[in-house]
Amino acid sequence: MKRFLVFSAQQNIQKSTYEIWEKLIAMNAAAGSSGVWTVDFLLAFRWQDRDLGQRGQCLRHGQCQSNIIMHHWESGVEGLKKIILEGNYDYVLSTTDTQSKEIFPRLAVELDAATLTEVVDMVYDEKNDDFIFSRPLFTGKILATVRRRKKNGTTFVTVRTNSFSSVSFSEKSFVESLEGGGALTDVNVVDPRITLKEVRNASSEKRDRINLMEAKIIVAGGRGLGSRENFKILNDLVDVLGQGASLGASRAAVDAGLADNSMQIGQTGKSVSPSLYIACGISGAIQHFAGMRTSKMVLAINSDPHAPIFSRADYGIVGDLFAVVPLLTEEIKSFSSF
Amino acid sequence: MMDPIYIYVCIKQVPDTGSTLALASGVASESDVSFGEVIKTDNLKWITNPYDEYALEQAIRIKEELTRKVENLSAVAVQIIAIRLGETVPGIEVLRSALALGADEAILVETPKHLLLDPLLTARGLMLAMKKHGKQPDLVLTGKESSDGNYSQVPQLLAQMLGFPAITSISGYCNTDTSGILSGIEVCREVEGGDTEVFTARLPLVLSCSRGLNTIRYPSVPGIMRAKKKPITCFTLEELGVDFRSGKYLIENISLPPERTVGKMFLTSTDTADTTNETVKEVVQEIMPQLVALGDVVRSQ
Ligand SMILES: Cc1cc2nc3c(=O)[nH]c(=O)nc-3n(C[C@H](O)[C@H](O)[C@H](O)COP(=O)(O)OP(=O)(O)OC[C@H]3O[C@@H](n4cnc5c(N)ncnc54)[C@H](O)[C@@H]3O)c2cc1C
Repeated sequence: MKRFLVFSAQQNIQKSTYEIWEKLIAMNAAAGSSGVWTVDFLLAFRWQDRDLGQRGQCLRHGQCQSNIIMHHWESGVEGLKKIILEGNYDYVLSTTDTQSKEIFPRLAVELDAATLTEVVDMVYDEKNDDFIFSRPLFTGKILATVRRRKKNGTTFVTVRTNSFSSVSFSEKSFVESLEGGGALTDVNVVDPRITLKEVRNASSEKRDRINLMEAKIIVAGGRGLGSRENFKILNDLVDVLGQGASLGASRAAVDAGLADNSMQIGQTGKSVSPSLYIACGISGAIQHFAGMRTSKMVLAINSDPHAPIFSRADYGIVGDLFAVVPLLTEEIKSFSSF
Repeated sequence: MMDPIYIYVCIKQVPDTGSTLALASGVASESDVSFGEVIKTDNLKWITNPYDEYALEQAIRIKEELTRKVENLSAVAVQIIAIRLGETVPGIEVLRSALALGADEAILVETPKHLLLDPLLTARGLMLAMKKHGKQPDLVLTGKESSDGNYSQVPQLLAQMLGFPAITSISGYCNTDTSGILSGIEVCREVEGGDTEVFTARLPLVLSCSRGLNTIRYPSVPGIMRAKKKPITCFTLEELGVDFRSGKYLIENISLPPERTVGKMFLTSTDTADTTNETVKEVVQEIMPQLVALGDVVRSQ
């Protein structure tokens, strides 16, 4: 009997959170001998409502028989610790995001537990009746498999987005299945030591774009774009690629002021794993590669046939991006609306 | 005379991010995960972990600003202590360069070899060294992540062990306290979805630093000369009572990720617009059906 808690503290329930749940259910089905595992959800809504007096709700998710614990984020470590101890969980898992990275290590100190971050795969080891995790080291140049030394106690795990895949997720139906009320859980007071003064909302243009780390398709621009205005041609390409697409950039593009800091992909930026990565005017430096090497497919567009990006791409178009990208946009538009 | 404000900067050395890593042996031993056992270290070039550079730079800026503000009072002294947990070679250079840039003193917590230490143990070692050193931290600055272990845990672990709050991954900082004694600060960071959160906080505090926070400086010759006279205190992990074999998990196996093979190349450079068009068509016909099969692109009729 394994007990899991899937944690999410983002504004909306992310597909990747759901993917963890689906992965656990699938592993349980495959590991016949290990009994039925418990997979609860802990949803700590942070900005949903700013009323700090708001209390959480404990709901039951009919379909998967998981406990849904709605929890107010601001109760912090103490509130979460109580939930974890009461639930006697073997593993607490989350997608790798600001919230989980911030709170899991703190809980680990309190519970004298291990935290594994940026996990990209997880398999059930029948022999030990426990799990083996894969995670990158040295910004992805090396892959390590890791297991916990002792099987008792709780272990915290953050999973890199897009590591597990799910085709059946619909946020709307998931949220609808949560409706229905339930008992209240106890919530402690706000940590008085830090004050959230304000949240500056992302520009509406940015807001329309799906979070880079969740994106299934990423169009990224490098120094080759030349100017901020020129990013518009990449924007147009993102638009025809639909809901799952987003826009990224190389560090050289960010440093030159062509793109925002938050768009940077690479060793000192975001690590992404989309199904398709389209690199436009990016040379393919090792530090850039570090952030997108787990992409399933890479298409590179570069005028220099010797650009290193081509040795890391599945498809390469040698040519002027200003000629190629608009054509690509047109071609994809006619393909998709066929 | 007030007590000085002690700013600790956690800093480490990592293999140059541009270097190629080779495996020394396939499997790490059970109890003692040492880098040298799994990765060939002979020809590695070492650099300061990039995010730690932002942390050190921020500490120097804070000190400069406070020193300017209270010049006429000279009431507040700020001491920057660079601290590194790891092997001595190559570990001491990172501290020397921190001293050359502006740290006042340094602490080395020596580990037996290049360890891939459980972050819980790293944080414990750092916390115990700060205690043993006797200078109670007011502010601890770290990088948001190191480029070797990629754990992003030490700042939060350390904060919890010290009983401090922490704000991670900051990309903006300002001192909101006009009296100049750093009683109130404001930091910001970007979260998923692109929103920026702005926090106000008081010391003591742990801040982990991200890109965008500042632009780092490089050491000057006088700085390098002055560094030679600055003290470096050494502790060993053992004397702090931390057993490096007591990590919570085991690295069972280490491998290189599969190399990407060179893919299909389409040339357009010398072409007319017409053939470029044909090329693009061909690429779209190759790629898009795969995305449709994955459910990542929906075709509307
Ligand atoms: C510690 C450290 C951390 C780093 N972290 C990161 C990181 O997180 N992310 C990152 O990206 N980089 C990072 N870098 C920088 C990295 O080394 C490269 O400098 C950077 O990725 C280069 O960006 P680029 O490819 O856009 O620019 P360039 O290398 O200048 O390449 C521009 C490319 O555009 C092509 N081009 C120009 N015009 C056209 C055109 N009209 N049509 C088609 N192609 C064209 C050129 O042929 C060239 O290949 C880091 C470096 C260090 C030292």
